Amino acid sequence: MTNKRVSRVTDTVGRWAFRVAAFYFGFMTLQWFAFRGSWFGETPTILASFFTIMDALVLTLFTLFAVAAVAAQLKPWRFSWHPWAAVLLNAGSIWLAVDVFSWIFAK
Amino acid sequence: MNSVEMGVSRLKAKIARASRWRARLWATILAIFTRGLTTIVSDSTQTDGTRSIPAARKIPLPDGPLVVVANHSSHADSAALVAAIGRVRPVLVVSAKDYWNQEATAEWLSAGLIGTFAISRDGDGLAELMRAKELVQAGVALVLFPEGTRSADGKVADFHTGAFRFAAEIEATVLPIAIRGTHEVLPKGARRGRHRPINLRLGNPSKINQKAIKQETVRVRDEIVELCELPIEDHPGFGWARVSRLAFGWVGLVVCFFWAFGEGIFWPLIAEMPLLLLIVTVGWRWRGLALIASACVGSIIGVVTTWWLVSHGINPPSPLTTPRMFEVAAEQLRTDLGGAFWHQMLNGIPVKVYAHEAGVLPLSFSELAVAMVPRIVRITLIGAGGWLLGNFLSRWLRSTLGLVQSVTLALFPFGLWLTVWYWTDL
Repeated sequence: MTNKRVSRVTDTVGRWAFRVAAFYFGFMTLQWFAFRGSWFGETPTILASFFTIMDALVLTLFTLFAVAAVAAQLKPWRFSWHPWAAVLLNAGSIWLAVDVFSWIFAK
Repeated sequence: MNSVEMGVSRLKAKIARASRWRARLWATILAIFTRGLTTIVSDSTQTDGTRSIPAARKIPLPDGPLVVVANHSSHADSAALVAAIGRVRPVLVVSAKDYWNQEATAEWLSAGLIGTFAISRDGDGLAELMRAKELVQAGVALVLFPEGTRSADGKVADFHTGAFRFAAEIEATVLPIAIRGTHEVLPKGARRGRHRPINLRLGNPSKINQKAIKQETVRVRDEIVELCELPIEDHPGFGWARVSRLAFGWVGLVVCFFWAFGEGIFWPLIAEMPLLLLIVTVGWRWRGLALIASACVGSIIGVVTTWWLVSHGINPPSPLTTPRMFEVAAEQLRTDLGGAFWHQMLNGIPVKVYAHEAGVLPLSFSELAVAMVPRIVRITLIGAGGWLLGNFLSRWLRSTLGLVQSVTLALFPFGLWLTVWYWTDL
Protein backbone atom coordinates (compact mmCIF):
# COMPACT_ATOMS: atom_id res chain seq x y z
CA MET A 1 0.00 0.00 0.00
CA THR A 2 1.33 3.45 -0.85
CA ASN A 3 2.29 5.60 2.14
CA LYS A 4 0.13 8.73 1.97
CA ARG A 5 1.35 10.26 5.24
CA VAL A 6 3.60 13.32 5.04
CA SER A 7 7.21 12.97 6.15
CA ARG A 8 8.44 14.25 9.54
CA VAL A 9 10.02 17.51 8.28
CA THR A 10 7.04 18.40 6.07
CA ASP A 11 4.66 17.50 8.90
CA THR A 12 6.55 19.69 11.41
CA VAL A 13 6.61 22.64 8.99
CA GLY A 14 2.85 22.25 8.40
CA ARG A 15 2.01 22.01 12.11
CA TRP A 16 4.04 25.12 12.95
CA ALA A 17 2.47 27.03 10.07
CA PHE A 18 -0.92 26.15 11.56
CA ARG A 19 0.05 26.98 15.17
CA VAL A 20 1.43 30.44 14.37
CA ALA A 21 -1.50 31.22 12.04
CA ALA A 22 -4.02 30.17 14.69
CA PHE A 23 -2.28 32.26 17.36
CA TYR A 24 -2.18 35.33 15.17
CA PHE A 25 -5.78 34.92 14.06
CA GLY A 26 -6.76 35.08 17.75
CA PHE A 27 -4.59 38.13 18.30
CA MET A 28 -5.97 39.80 15.17
CA THR A 29 -9.54 39.16 16.35
CA LEU A 30 -8.67 40.84 19.66
CA GLN A 31 -7.24 43.84 17.78
CA TRP A 32 -10.38 44.04 15.64
CA PHE A 33 -12.63 44.21 18.71
CA ALA A 34 -10.29 46.63 20.50
CA PHE A 35 -10.18 49.17 17.65
CA ARG A 36 -13.77 48.76 16.43
CA GLY A 37 -14.98 49.00 20.02
CA SER A 38 -12.86 52.14 20.65
CA TRP A 39 -11.16 50.59 23.67
CA PHE A 40 -8.29 53.06 23.20
CA GLY A 41 -10.41 56.14 22.57
CA GLU A 42 -11.60 57.79 19.37
CA THR A 43 -8.19 58.54 17.87
CA PRO A 44 -5.74 55.77 18.82
CA THR A 45 -3.41 56.80 15.99
CA ILE A 46 -0.14 55.72 17.61
CA LEU A 47 -1.39 52.22 18.43
CA ALA A 48 -3.10 51.86 15.06
CA SER A 49 0.12 52.84 13.24
CA PHE A 50 2.12 50.39 15.32
CA PHE A 51 -0.26 47.48 14.75
CA THR A 52 -0.68 48.28 11.04
CA ILE A 53 3.06 47.89 10.52
CA MET A 54 3.41 44.88 12.80
CA ASP A 55 0.44 43.06 11.26
CA ALA A 56 1.62 43.79 7.72
CA LEU A 57 5.02 42.27 8.49
CA VAL A 58 3.88 39.32 10.56
CA LEU A 59 0.98 38.36 8.30
CA THR A 60 3.20 38.52 5.19
CA LEU A 61 5.72 36.26 6.92
CA PHE A 62 3.16 33.78 8.24
CA THR A 63 1.29 33.63 4.93
CA LEU A 64 4.51 32.89 3.04
CA PHE A 65 5.30 30.25 5.64
CA ALA A 66 1.86 28.64 5.19
CA VAL A 67 2.15 28.73 1.39
CA ALA A 68 5.62 27.16 1.64
CA ALA A 69 4.17 24.47 3.92
CA VAL A 70 1.49 23.71 1.31
CA ALA A 71 4.11 23.70 -1.46
CA ALA A 72 6.24 21.26 0.54
CA GLN A 73 3.39 18.73 0.31
CA LEU A 74 2.96 19.02 -3.43
CA LYS A 75 6.11 17.26 -4.57
CA PRO A 76 5.62 14.07 -2.56
CA TRP A 77 1.83 14.52 -3.13
CA ARG A 78 1.12 13.60 0.48
CA PHE A 79 -1.14 15.85 2.47
CA SER A 80 -2.11 16.83 5.99
CA TRP A 81 -4.76 19.46 6.79
CA HIS A 82 -2.51 21.78 8.86
CA PRO A 83 -0.98 23.95 6.11
CA TRP A 84 -4.33 24.38 4.36
CA ALA A 85 -5.92 25.50 7.61
CA ALA A 86 -2.97 27.85 8.12
CA VAL A 87 -3.59 29.46 4.72
CA LEU A 88 -7.29 29.93 5.58
CA LEU A 89 -6.54 31.41 9.02
CA ASN A 90 -4.00 33.82 7.54
CA ALA A 91 -6.53 34.87 4.90
CA GLY A 92 -8.99 35.54 7.73
CA SER A 93 -6.42 37.56 9.66
CA ILE A 94 -5.62 39.63 6.58
CA TRP A 95 -9.32 40.35 6.06
CA LEU A 96 -9.67 41.47 9.70
CA ALA A 97 -6.56 43.67 9.46
CA VAL A 98 -7.64 45.34 6.22
CA ASP A 99 -11.15 45.90 7.58
CA VAL A 100 -10.14 47.46 10.88
CA PHE A 101 -7.21 49.61 9.71
CA SER A 102 -8.95 50.89 6.59
CA TRP A 103 -11.82 51.86 8.91
CA ILE A 104 -9.49 53.74 11.26
CA PHE A 105 -7.39 55.51 8.63
CA ALA A 106 -10.36 56.30 6.36
CA LYS A 107 -11.94 58.43 9.11
CA MET B 1 41.65 32.62 -16.96
CA ASN B 2 40.28 29.44 -18.57
CA SER B 3 36.61 28.44 -18.63
CA VAL B 4 36.92 26.09 -15.62
CA GLU B 5 38.51 28.85 -13.55
CA MET B 6 35.80 31.26 -14.65
CA GLY B 7 33.16 28.76 -13.62
CA VAL B 8 34.78 28.28 -10.21
CA SER B 9 35.17 32.00 -9.72
CA ARG B 10 31.47 32.61 -10.55
CA LEU B 11 30.42 29.78 -8.27
CA LYS B 12 32.60 31.16 -5.49
CA ALA B 13 31.01 34.60 -5.89
CA LYS B 14 27.56 33.00 -5.73
CA ILE B 15 28.49 31.04 -2.59
CA ALA B 16 29.98 34.20 -1.06
CA ARG B 17 26.75 36.13 -1.59
CA ALA B 18 24.68 33.29 -0.21
CA SER B 19 27.05 32.82 2.75
CA ARG B 20 26.68 36.45 3.77
CA TRP B 21 22.89 36.33 3.95
CA ARG B 22 22.92 32.87 5.49
CA ALA B 23 25.32 34.16 8.17
CA ARG B 24 22.95 37.01 8.99
CA LEU B 25 19.93 34.73 8.94
CA TRP B 26 21.47 32.18 11.31
CA ALA B 27 22.98 34.83 13.58
CA THR B 28 19.47 36.27 13.87
CA ILE B 29 17.82 32.90 14.48
CA LEU B 30 20.45 31.90 17.05
CA ALA B 31 20.11 35.28 18.77
CA ILE B 32 16.37 34.72 19.10
CA PHE B 33 16.32 31.06 20.09
CA THR B 34 19.54 30.79 22.13
CA ARG B 35 21.34 33.04 24.60
CA GLY B 36 23.56 34.10 21.73
CA LEU B 37 26.58 32.98 19.78
CA THR B 38 30.05 34.06 20.90
CA THR B 39 33.31 33.21 19.18
CA ILE B 40 36.35 33.05 21.45
CA VAL B 41 39.78 33.53 19.91
CA SER B 42 43.29 33.64 21.34
CA ASP B 43 44.54 37.15 21.98
CA SER B 44 47.83 37.69 23.77
CA THR B 45 46.99 41.35 24.42
CA GLN B 46 44.15 40.38 26.78
CA THR B 47 44.78 39.47 30.42
CA ASP B 48 43.21 36.00 30.13
CA GLY B 49 44.70 35.42 26.67
CA THR B 50 41.36 35.28 24.86
CA ARG B 51 38.95 37.68 23.18
CA SER B 52 35.18 37.21 22.83
CA ILE B 53 33.57 38.23 19.58
CA PRO B 54 29.75 38.56 19.42
CA ALA B 55 27.88 37.18 16.42
CA ALA B 56 27.40 40.68 15.03
CA ARG B 57 31.17 41.13 14.50
CA LYS B 58 33.59 39.49 12.08
CA ILE B 59 35.91 36.76 13.35
CA PRO B 60 39.58 36.46 12.30
CA LEU B 61 40.15 33.55 9.90
CA PRO B 62 43.38 32.37 8.21
CA ASP B 63 43.92 33.29 4.54
CA GLY B 64 44.21 30.73 1.74
CA PRO B 65 42.49 27.38 1.30
CA LEU B 66 40.72 26.53 4.54
CA VAL B 67 39.20 23.38 5.96
CA VAL B 68 37.33 23.85 9.22
CA VAL B 69 36.94 20.80 11.44
CA ALA B 70 34.64 20.80 14.44
CA ASN B 71 32.98 18.51 16.92
CA HIS B 72 29.35 17.64 16.15
CA SER B 73 26.51 17.06 18.58
CA SER B 74 23.60 19.07 17.19
CA HIS B 75 21.94 20.42 14.05
CA ALA B 76 22.70 23.83 15.54
CA ASP B 77 26.43 23.23 14.90
CA SER B 78 26.16 23.97 11.18
CA ALA B 79 24.02 27.03 11.86
CA ALA B 80 26.54 28.39 14.38
CA LEU B 81 29.51 27.83 12.06
CA VAL B 82 27.74 29.38 9.07
CA ALA B 83 26.73 32.39 11.22
CA ALA B 84 30.34 32.98 12.30
CA ILE B 85 32.33 32.02 9.19
CA GLY B 86 29.85 33.16 6.51
CA ARG B 87 30.33 36.80 7.50
CA VAL B 88 34.01 36.62 6.61
CA ARG B 89 34.36 33.98 3.89
CA PRO B 90 32.19 31.94 1.56
CA VAL B 91 31.45 28.67 3.31
CA LEU B 92 30.04 25.23 2.55
CA VAL B 93 29.21 22.58 5.13
CA VAL B 94 29.80 18.95 4.25
CA SER B 95 26.63 16.98 4.91
CA ALA B 96 25.53 13.35 4.75
CA LYS B 97 23.67 12.57 1.54
CA ASP B 98 21.89 9.64 3.17
CA TYR B 99 20.41 11.95 5.85
CA TRP B 100 19.72 15.27 4.18
CA ASN B 101 18.97 14.25 0.60
CA GLN B 102 16.25 11.69 1.29
CA GLU B 103 13.35 14.06 0.80
CA ALA B 104 12.86 17.25 -1.17
CA THR B 105 12.03 19.55 1.78
CA ALA B 106 15.07 18.51 3.83
CA GLU B 107 17.35 18.76 0.79
CA TRP B 108 16.02 22.20 -0.09
CA LEU B 109 16.33 23.41 3.50
CA SER B 110 19.87 22.12 3.95
CA ALA B 111 21.18 23.28 0.58
CA GLY B 112 19.39 26.62 0.59
CA LEU B 113 19.59 27.70 4.19
CA ILE B 114 22.89 26.15 5.31
CA GLY B 115 24.79 25.74 2.04
CA THR B 116 25.61 22.04 2.21
CA PHE B 117 28.03 20.02 0.14
CA ALA B 118 26.49 16.55 0.28
CA ILE B 119 28.68 13.45 0.26
CA SER B 120 27.92 9.80 0.71
CA ARG B 121 28.99 8.27 4.02
CA ASP B 122 29.34 4.76 2.69
CA GLY B 123 31.43 5.49 -0.40
CA ASP B 124 34.95 6.86 -0.87
CA GLY B 125 34.68 10.05 1.19
CA LEU B 126 37.96 11.49 -0.08
CA ALA B 127 37.00 11.04 -3.74
CA GLU B 128 33.73 12.86 -3.09
CA LEU B 129 35.45 15.63 -1.16
CA MET B 130 37.88 16.14 -4.03
CA ARG B 131 34.94 17.51 -6.04
CA ALA B 132 35.22 20.57 -3.82
CA LYS B 133 38.97 20.96 -4.42
CA GLU B 134 38.77 23.88 -6.88
CA LEU B 135 36.27 25.73 -4.73
CA VAL B 136 38.36 25.38 -1.58
CA GLN B 137 41.49 26.44 -3.44
CA ALA B 138 39.56 29.45 -4.74
CA GLY B 139 38.79 30.51 -1.16
CA VAL B 140 35.61 28.74 -0.10
CA ALA B 141 35.94 27.50 3.50
CA LEU B 142 34.81 23.88 3.80
CA VAL B 143 33.38 22.78 7.14
CA LEU B 144 33.64 19.11 8.07
CA PHE B 145 32.54 17.17 11.10
CA PRO B 146 35.14 14.38 11.27
CA GLU B 147 33.08 12.36 13.76
CA GLY B 148 30.78 11.59 10.83
CA THR B 149 27.58 11.93 12.84
CA ARG B 150 26.14 13.84 15.78
CA SER B 151 27.27 12.72 19.21
CA ALA B 152 24.31 11.60 21.31
CA ASP B 153 25.93 12.39 24.68
CA GLY B 154 27.83 15.54 23.72
CA LYS B 155 31.24 13.88 24.06
CA VAL B 156 33.70 14.11 21.18
CA ALA B 157 33.91 10.74 19.39
CA ASP B 158 36.91 9.48 17.39
CA PHE B 159 37.63 11.38 14.21
CA HIS B 160 37.66 9.88 10.72
CA THR B 161 40.71 10.80 8.67
CA GLY B 162 38.93 11.93 5.46
CA ALA B 163 38.92 15.64 6.29
CA PHE B 164 42.66 15.59 7.08
CA ARG B 165 43.59 13.55 4.02
CA PHE B 166 41.63 16.03 1.92
CA ALA B 167 43.32 19.02 3.58
CA ALA B 168 46.77 17.45 3.12
CA GLU B 169 45.99 16.60 -0.49
CA ILE B 170 45.11 20.17 -1.45
CA GLU B 171 47.53 21.78 1.06
CA ALA B 172 44.76 23.59 2.86
CA THR B 173 45.02 25.00 6.36
CA VAL B 174 43.03 23.10 8.95
CA LEU B 175 41.27 25.23 11.56
CA PRO B 176 39.92 23.28 14.55
CA ILE B 177 36.83 24.78 16.15
CA ALA B 178 35.36 23.52 19.41
CA ILE B 179 31.61 24.03 19.54
CA ARG B 180 30.16 24.33 23.04
CA GLY B 181 26.56 24.77 24.04
CA THR B 182 24.79 23.40 20.97
CA HIS B 183 24.32 20.04 22.67
CA GLU B 184 22.42 21.84 25.43
CA VAL B 185 20.50 23.95 22.89
CA LEU B 186 19.36 21.17 20.56
CA PRO B 187 20.66 17.68 21.38
CA LYS B 188 20.29 14.79 18.97
CA GLY B 189 16.66 13.67 18.76
CA ALA B 190 15.22 16.80 20.42
CA ARG B 191 12.29 18.47 18.68
CA ARG B 192 12.50 21.75 20.57
CA GLY B 193 15.50 23.84 21.50
CA ARG B 194 16.57 25.25 24.86
CA HIS B 195 17.71 28.78 25.54
CA ARG B 196 21.44 28.40 26.24
CA PRO B 197 24.61 30.21 25.14
CA ILE B 198 26.74 28.87 22.30
CA ASN B 199 30.53 29.26 22.15
CA LEU B 200 32.84 28.65 19.22
CA ARG B 201 36.45 28.34 20.41
CA LEU B 202 38.93 28.73 17.60
CA GLY B 203 42.01 26.48 17.83
CA ASN B 204 45.38 26.89 16.16
CA PRO B 205 45.32 26.75 12.36
CA SER B 206 47.88 24.34 10.93
CA LYS B 207 48.93 22.48 7.79
CA ILE B 208 48.56 18.71 7.81
CA ASN B 209 51.58 16.46 7.39
CA GLN B 210 50.56 14.04 4.64
CA LYS B 211 52.89 11.36 5.99
CA ALA B 212 51.31 11.32 9.44
CA ILE B 213 47.57 11.64 8.81
CA LYS B 214 46.53 9.47 11.77
CA GLN B 215 48.75 11.36 14.24
CA GLU B 216 47.51 14.69 12.84
CA THR B 217 43.90 13.52 13.20
CA VAL B 218 44.50 12.59 16.84
CA ARG B 219 46.35 15.86 17.48
CA VAL B 220 43.52 18.01 16.12
CA ARG B 221 40.90 15.95 17.99
CA ASP B 222 42.87 16.34 21.24
CA GLU B 223 43.00 20.10 20.69
CA ILE B 224 39.22 20.25 20.18
CA VAL B 225 38.61 18.04 23.25
CA GLU B 226 40.86 20.34 25.31
CA LEU B 227 38.98 23.44 24.10
CA CYS B 228 35.65 21.72 24.82
CA GLU B 229 36.65 21.29 28.46
CA LEU B 230 36.79 25.06 29.00
CA PRO B 231 33.65 26.53 30.59
CA ILE B 232 30.93 28.02 28.41
CA GLU B 233 31.06 31.82 28.45
CA ASP B 234 27.78 33.69 28.53
CA HIS B 235 28.22 37.14 26.99
CA PRO B 236 25.46 39.57 26.02
CA GLY B 237 25.12 40.48 22.36
CA PHE B 238 26.85 43.47 20.80
CA GLY B 239 23.72 45.66 20.95
CA TRP B 240 23.02 44.99 24.63
CA ALA B 241 26.66 45.57 25.67
CA ARG B 242 26.79 48.94 23.91
CA VAL B 243 23.38 50.20 24.99
CA SER B 244 23.97 49.13 28.58
CA ARG B 245 27.21 51.13 28.69
CA LEU B 246 25.36 54.19 27.39
CA ALA B 247 22.47 53.72 29.84
CA PHE B 248 24.78 53.66 32.84
CA GLY B 249 26.90 56.58 31.66
CA TRP B 250 26.05 60.27 31.77
CA VAL B 251 25.45 60.15 28.00
CA GLY B 252 22.24 58.19 28.57
CA LEU B 253 20.82 60.79 30.94
CA VAL B 254 21.82 63.67 28.67
CA VAL B 255 20.32 62.01 25.58
CA CYS B 256 17.01 61.31 27.39
CA PHE B 257 16.84 64.88 28.69
CA PHE B 258 17.68 66.71 25.47
CA TRP B 259 15.59 64.42 23.28
CA ALA B 260 12.49 65.07 25.40
CA PHE B 261 13.39 68.77 25.71
CA GLY B 262 13.82 69.08 21.93
CA GLU B 263 10.58 67.19 21.28
CA GLY B 264 8.72 69.77 23.39
CA ILE B 265 9.98 72.52 21.04
CA PHE B 266 10.69 71.32 17.49
CA TRP B 267 12.17 67.77 17.42
CA PRO B 268 9.86 65.46 15.40
CA LEU B 269 10.64 62.16 17.17
CA ILE B 270 8.85 61.08 20.35
CA ALA B 271 10.40 61.73 23.76
CA GLU B 272 10.19 58.12 24.92
CA MET B 273 12.26 56.76 22.03
CA PRO B 274 15.76 56.91 23.56
CA LEU B 275 14.28 56.25 27.00
CA LEU B 276 12.85 52.92 25.83
CA LEU B 277 15.98 52.00 23.92
CA LEU B 278 18.16 52.55 27.00
CA ILE B 279 16.00 51.56 29.95
CA VAL B 280 15.51 47.92 28.93
CA THR B 281 19.16 47.22 29.77
CA VAL B 282 19.42 48.67 33.28
CA GLY B 283 17.87 45.85 35.33
CA TRP B 284 16.49 46.53 38.85
CA ARG B 285 18.70 49.54 39.42
CA TRP B 286 17.95 53.16 40.31
CA ARG B 287 19.37 54.19 36.95
CA GLY B 288 15.98 53.30 35.44
CA LEU B 289 14.27 55.91 37.58
CA ALA B 290 16.98 58.46 36.75
CA LEU B 291 16.43 57.92 33.01
CA ILE B 292 12.65 58.34 33.37
CA ALA B 293 13.14 61.46 35.50
CA SER B 294 15.53 63.04 33.03
CA ALA B 295 13.06 62.46 30.15
CA CYS B 296 10.19 63.90 32.25
CA VAL B 297 12.16 66.98 33.28
CA GLY B 298 13.36 67.51 29.70
CA SER B 299 9.81 67.25 28.38
CA ILE B 300 8.39 69.69 30.99
CA ILE B 301 11.10 72.28 30.28
CA GLY B 302 10.61 71.81 26.51
CA VAL B 303 6.82 72.33 26.71
CA VAL B 304 7.16 75.33 29.01
CA THR B 305 9.80 76.84 26.69
CA THR B 306 7.51 76.53 23.66
CA TRP B 307 4.54 77.95 25.60
CA TRP B 308 6.68 80.91 26.73
CA LEU B 309 8.16 81.53 23.26
CA VAL B 310 4.75 81.42 21.52
CA SER B 311 3.09 83.61 24.14
CA HIS B 312 5.89 86.15 23.45
CA GLY B 313 5.29 86.03 19.70
CA ILE B 314 8.09 83.62 18.70
CA ASN B 315 7.00 80.54 16.76
CA PRO B 316 9.52 77.69 16.83
CA PRO B 317 9.58 75.43 13.73
CA SER B 318 7.19 72.46 13.80
CA PRO B 319 8.35 69.85 11.28
CA LEU B 320 6.07 66.89 10.51
CA THR B 321 2.95 68.56 11.82
CA THR B 322 -0.25 69.47 9.96
CA PRO B 323 -2.73 72.35 10.33
CA ARG B 324 -5.39 69.84 11.43
CA MET B 325 -3.19 68.82 14.37
CA PHE B 326 -3.11 72.47 15.52
CA GLU B 327 -6.88 72.84 15.06
CA VAL B 328 -7.66 69.69 17.08
CA ALA B 329 -5.16 70.59 19.83
CA ALA B 330 -6.56 74.14 20.11
CA GLU B 331 -10.13 72.82 20.22
CA GLN B 332 -9.27 70.32 22.96
CA LEU B 333 -7.37 72.91 25.04
CA ARG B 334 -10.31 75.35 24.75
CA THR B 335 -13.11 72.91 25.50
CA ASP B 336 -11.47 70.30 27.76
CA LEU B 337 -8.27 71.62 29.32
CA GLY B 338 -8.01 68.76 31.82
CA GLY B 339 -8.44 66.09 29.15
CA ALA B 340 -6.41 67.63 26.31
CA PHE B 341 -3.06 66.07 27.22
CA TRP B 342 -4.83 62.78 28.02
CA HIS B 343 -5.97 62.69 24.38
CA GLN B 344 -2.41 63.48 23.37
CA MET B 345 -1.22 60.21 24.97
CA LEU B 346 -2.48 58.09 22.07
CA ASN B 347 -3.63 60.41 19.29
CA GLY B 348 -0.23 60.99 17.70
CA ILE B 349 -0.34 64.80 17.78
CA PRO B 350 3.11 65.93 18.96
CA VAL B 351 3.27 67.59 22.38
CA LYS B 352 4.91 70.68 20.83
CA VAL B 353 1.62 71.33 18.99
CA TYR B 354 -0.28 71.41 22.31
CA ALA B 355 2.48 73.57 23.83
CA HIS B 356 2.20 75.94 20.86
CA GLU B 357 -1.58 76.21 21.14
CA ALA B 358 -1.27 76.68 24.92
CA GLY B 359 0.88 79.75 24.14
CA VAL B 360 -1.57 81.01 21.49
CA LEU B 361 -4.63 80.82 23.78
CA PRO B 362 -2.75 81.77 26.08
CA LEU B 363 -2.97 79.49 29.12
CA SER B 364 -1.55 80.64 32.43
CA PHE B 365 1.52 78.83 33.78
CA SER B 366 -0.53 77.10 36.49
CA GLU B 367 -3.12 75.92 33.92
CA LEU B 368 -0.32 74.58 31.74
CA ALA B 369 1.33 72.85 34.71
CA VAL B 370 -1.91 71.02 35.60
CA ALA B 371 -2.63 70.15 31.96
CA MET B 372 0.84 68.64 31.57
CA VAL B 373 0.29 65.93 34.22
CA PRO B 374 -0.84 63.33 31.63
CA ARG B 375 2.32 64.04 29.69
CA ILE B 376 4.44 63.06 32.69
CA VAL B 377 2.19 60.06 33.28
CA ARG B 378 2.76 58.88 29.71
CA ILE B 379 6.54 59.17 29.86
CA THR B 380 6.58 57.45 33.27
CA LEU B 381 4.25 54.67 32.12
CA ILE B 382 6.18 53.97 28.93
CA GLY B 383 9.52 54.21 30.76
CA ALA B 384 8.31 51.93 33.55
CA GLY B 385 6.87 49.53 30.99
CA GLY B 386 10.22 49.36 29.21
CA TRP B 387 12.01 48.98 32.54
CA LEU B 388 9.76 46.06 33.59
CA LEU B 389 9.80 44.48 30.15
CA GLY B 390 13.59 44.76 30.02
CA ASN B 391 13.80 42.88 33.30
CA PHE B 392 11.36 40.15 32.41
CA LEU B 393 12.71 39.70 28.89
CA SER B 394 16.40 40.28 29.64
CA ARG B 395 17.09 36.59 29.03
CA TRP B 396 16.03 37.08 25.40
CA LEU B 397 16.96 40.71 24.95
CA ARG B 398 20.59 40.14 25.97
CA SER B 399 21.20 38.47 22.61
CA THR B 400 18.57 40.17 20.47
CA LEU B 401 18.53 43.81 21.60
CA GLY B 402 20.59 45.04 18.64
CA LEU B 403 18.24 43.25 16.27
CA VAL B 404 15.09 44.50 18.04
CA GLN B 405 16.35 48.08 18.02
CA SER B 406 17.46 47.95 14.39
CA VAL B 407 14.06 46.63 13.29
CA THR B 408 12.26 49.20 15.45
CA LEU B 409 14.31 52.08 14.11
CA ALA B 410 13.89 50.87 10.52
CA LEU B 411 10.10 50.68 10.90
CA PHE B 412 9.66 53.86 12.91
CA PRO B 413 9.53 56.17 9.84
CA PHE B 414 6.55 54.20 8.49
CA GLY B 415 4.70 54.64 11.79
CA LEU B 416 5.51 58.34 11.79
CA TRP B 417 4.30 58.68 8.20
CA LEU B 418 1.03 56.88 8.98
CA THR B 419 0.42 59.14 11.98
CA VAL B 420 1.12 62.33 10.03
CA TRP B 421 -0.98 61.04 7.13
CA TYR B 422 -3.90 60.41 9.51
CA TRP B 423 -3.84 64.07 10.55
CA THR B 424 -3.46 65.41 7.02
CA ASP B 425 -6.51 66.95 5.35
CA LEU B 426 -6.94 65.18 2.04
